[in-house]
Amino acid sequence: MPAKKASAAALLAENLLRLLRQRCEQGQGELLTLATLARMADPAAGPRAVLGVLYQRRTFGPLVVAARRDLDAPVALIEDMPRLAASPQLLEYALRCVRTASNHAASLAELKRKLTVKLQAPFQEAVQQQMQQATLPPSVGWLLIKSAKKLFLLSDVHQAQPGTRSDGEPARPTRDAINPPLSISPSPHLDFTGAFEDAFSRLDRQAGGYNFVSLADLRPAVPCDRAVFDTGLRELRLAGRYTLSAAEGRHGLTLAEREAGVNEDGTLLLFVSRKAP
Amino acid sequence: MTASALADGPTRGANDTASDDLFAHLLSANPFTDNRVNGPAPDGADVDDIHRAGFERLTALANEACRLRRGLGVVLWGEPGIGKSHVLARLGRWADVDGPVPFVYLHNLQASPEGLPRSVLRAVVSILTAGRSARFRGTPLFRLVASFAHEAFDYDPSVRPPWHAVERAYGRLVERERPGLVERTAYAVLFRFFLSAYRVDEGHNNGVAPLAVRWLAGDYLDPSEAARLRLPPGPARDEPVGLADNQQVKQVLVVLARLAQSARRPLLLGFDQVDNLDDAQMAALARFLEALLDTAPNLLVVTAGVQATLMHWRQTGQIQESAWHRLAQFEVALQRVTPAEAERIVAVRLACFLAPCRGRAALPQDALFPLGQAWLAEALRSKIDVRPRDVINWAREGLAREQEALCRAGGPAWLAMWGRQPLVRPDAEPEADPLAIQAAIDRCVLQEVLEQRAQRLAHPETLPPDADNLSGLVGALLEQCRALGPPYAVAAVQRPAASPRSGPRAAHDLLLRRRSEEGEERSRLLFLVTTSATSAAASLRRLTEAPERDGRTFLVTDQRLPLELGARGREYLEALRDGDSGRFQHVELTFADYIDLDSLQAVVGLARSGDLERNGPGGASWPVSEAETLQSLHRQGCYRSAPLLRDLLAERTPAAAVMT
Repeated sequence: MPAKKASAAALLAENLLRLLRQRCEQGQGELLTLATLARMADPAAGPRAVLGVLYQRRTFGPLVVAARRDLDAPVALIEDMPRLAASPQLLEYALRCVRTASNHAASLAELKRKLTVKLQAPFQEAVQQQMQQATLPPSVGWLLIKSAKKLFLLSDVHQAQPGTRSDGEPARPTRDAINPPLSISPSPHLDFTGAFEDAFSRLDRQAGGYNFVSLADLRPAVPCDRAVFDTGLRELRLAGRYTLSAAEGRHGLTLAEREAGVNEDGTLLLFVSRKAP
Repeated sequence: MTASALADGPTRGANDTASDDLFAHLLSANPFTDNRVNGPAPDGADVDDIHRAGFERLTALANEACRLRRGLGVVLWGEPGIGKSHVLARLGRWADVDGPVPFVYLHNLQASPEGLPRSVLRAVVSILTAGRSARFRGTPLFRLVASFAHEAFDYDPSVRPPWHAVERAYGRLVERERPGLVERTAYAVLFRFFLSAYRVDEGHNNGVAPLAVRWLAGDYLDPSEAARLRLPPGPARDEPVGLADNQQVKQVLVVLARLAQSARRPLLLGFDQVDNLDDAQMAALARFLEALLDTAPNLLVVTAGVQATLMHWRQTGQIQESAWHRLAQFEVALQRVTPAEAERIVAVRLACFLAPCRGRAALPQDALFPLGQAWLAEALRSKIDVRPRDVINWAREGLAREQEALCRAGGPAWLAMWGRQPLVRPDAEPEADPLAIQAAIDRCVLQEVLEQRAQRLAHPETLPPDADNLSGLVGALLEQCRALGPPYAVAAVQRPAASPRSGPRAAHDLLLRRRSEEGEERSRLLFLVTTSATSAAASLRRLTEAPERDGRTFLVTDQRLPLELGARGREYLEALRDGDSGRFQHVELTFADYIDLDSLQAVVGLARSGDLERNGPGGASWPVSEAETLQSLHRQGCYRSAPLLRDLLAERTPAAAVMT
């Protein structure tokens, strides 16, 4: 029944498009992944049906998507393409796509190849500009490796655990331990709640919208020192807006995760979630 | 300590007797001893509004799956001790209310990745038939087929048709479903099961129903048995007949989900603690469930586990993107509870505990008696949110202290002073004493092993005879012995593929290689759990003809499904006994043996998913790691004393063949 299938896909495509336009008109500018958009449009639509939408060229023409076979690819209206191309989400998405277990850094040329053709040029232009003007997203860094600029996710940087030395002796506090290199300088007039909410929303979206963000990702994304962060987070928890859960996954923890967690009653709390009503 | 020991007054009236009863009751048990749910359980002290939203979401999805005739997948996730198994148990009770479709609760799956779907089907059919091997009338499966037959007559209660009319109407309804060959066969087998099970109570036992159950559960039948069920013959005349592959296993589950539709109830499959599966098992399970959800009408699959582990599997591709989107189409996240909710958990348990005394003895006006509001304020001081398990641990310790005080002071004196003494909260266990920690771990591990055993004894249907599961279980335990190193001298545990890409299928299911002074000692294990004489003979033939015959050979069977051999099978068995000069051993495991093995592995699984915690003074708790659990099982001699393992890990080759 190809005709029926095609019409169902076209219908879903129309729904996605309508939803994106509505959000645009309502000023809800945050970028969505295809999966999130589809879940909002039709919670019952399976992954195959959603990916099938991307081949509805007639209906889906006004949309631009970062990659064709990935539900986690960011998606936007075509008139929003410049914003999508310059967005932290797209850069982080491309970095996640190119990242392998043995290689965490990539050149801009390698990154753009992970995107759909339509997006490649504007993406390259936007990221080049960000690198020149030092306006890359806080989660991304670059460095020179054999004269080539390589971008990477800051969460992939490994640090020594404060308080230990390779010989096992307790280390004296170093400048880095007191002020870790990845933290952002505290802003004197920080609206902690706003900054926290923004960072949480962005990181949660990037991770697929599962309401489950690691403090290891969240801390570097909120420009304040650890004490301010912990106090602010405690207030948000007391207000019933966020909750923490333990780092109990069976696949172990990185040093960065251990360091980022909050110790309460002997339990390392690592993941932040919005409190359910 | 007895009630009479607590009484200290010279004159005794009705009030004194009631008080004595109260004191005796307070000392009789600690209502906070159980801090976990290991499966479907009676409601006990369930607090409806804890995780209410999550529970209601699950029931709404179950109803939606039924209404839309679709397969829906939902992940139920949260940290260990948050209440996932509790919510699943509540879902089980919800499913049990006026419906013939029980909640199928599955955990501790041990089958090989390729055998997992069949193992799931076997467990589903076992639960639907209440673990019975005869007298199936009244079982959920019987009632499901009855519902389908009722639908065939438009649910008209006045119709009392003869059997031939029922069969015709049933057939017409089947045709409306446009079934494929396997589905059509499954519907036909289910009807024969129904008819046979019904007639047993009228004194006509044709023995077809047990055969039907075996075929539906994925077991192989001898050609003569298949003919009695009117099944199409196998590829060759003498070959056993059964579900050929996982696609056919899926189709039987699809048919069961369709039957549940007739009962207007969803088929609910709950996979608890999936995070203790191996990566390859989880990948295989996810692929199978994706295919099942794509096809089955009226099915809700609940996958429960620790969110971080499930997300890790998704990010590393162990669970493929498409499978993830089916399994995790919906999410229910359980979060920590507020102090007010924590108070309700404690209050409800205490209310249930004290119910027999209420109205008889004069109790203090404190809803948390005998813990008291002062205890609560101290326990939850500075807490923002807590895990339910922690609250229960703290309450258990608090109540134990009150019980000690009651014993020390005597009932009336304790009651007179109750609430007036300052609270003393003992310090947490000093972590510096390794021997004390070790002893605490051993207590915790042993207690959990016993709890797991009790759970399985109470629900034998959740552990049906299953060769693949048993083989995986023994393999996993031997692998733990390998990890423990020199004491067991296990060099390798190898599980050959059931369907190798090239070459013939191995004759054994498991190969154990141990180091010994003479070199390497090999033990080959064949798990044979079938009543098909043809299947058994084929397996034994492979074993007798295997080119590698060095080392020991173990034939492992399950007492619940005893080996039935024809003439050929007996010949092969004799050949094995005679030819291996005392190195052949037949071990027939009882259900208790199976439980022993399964409980050990279940405790390791709990530790692996961070769900095994030891308690210390003051209600403090610490997770027990998988490595600590293995060491503890080793220290307590659990491996060497476990059935079958004691033979496999014995120091010397048995002198003679043993037939138990």
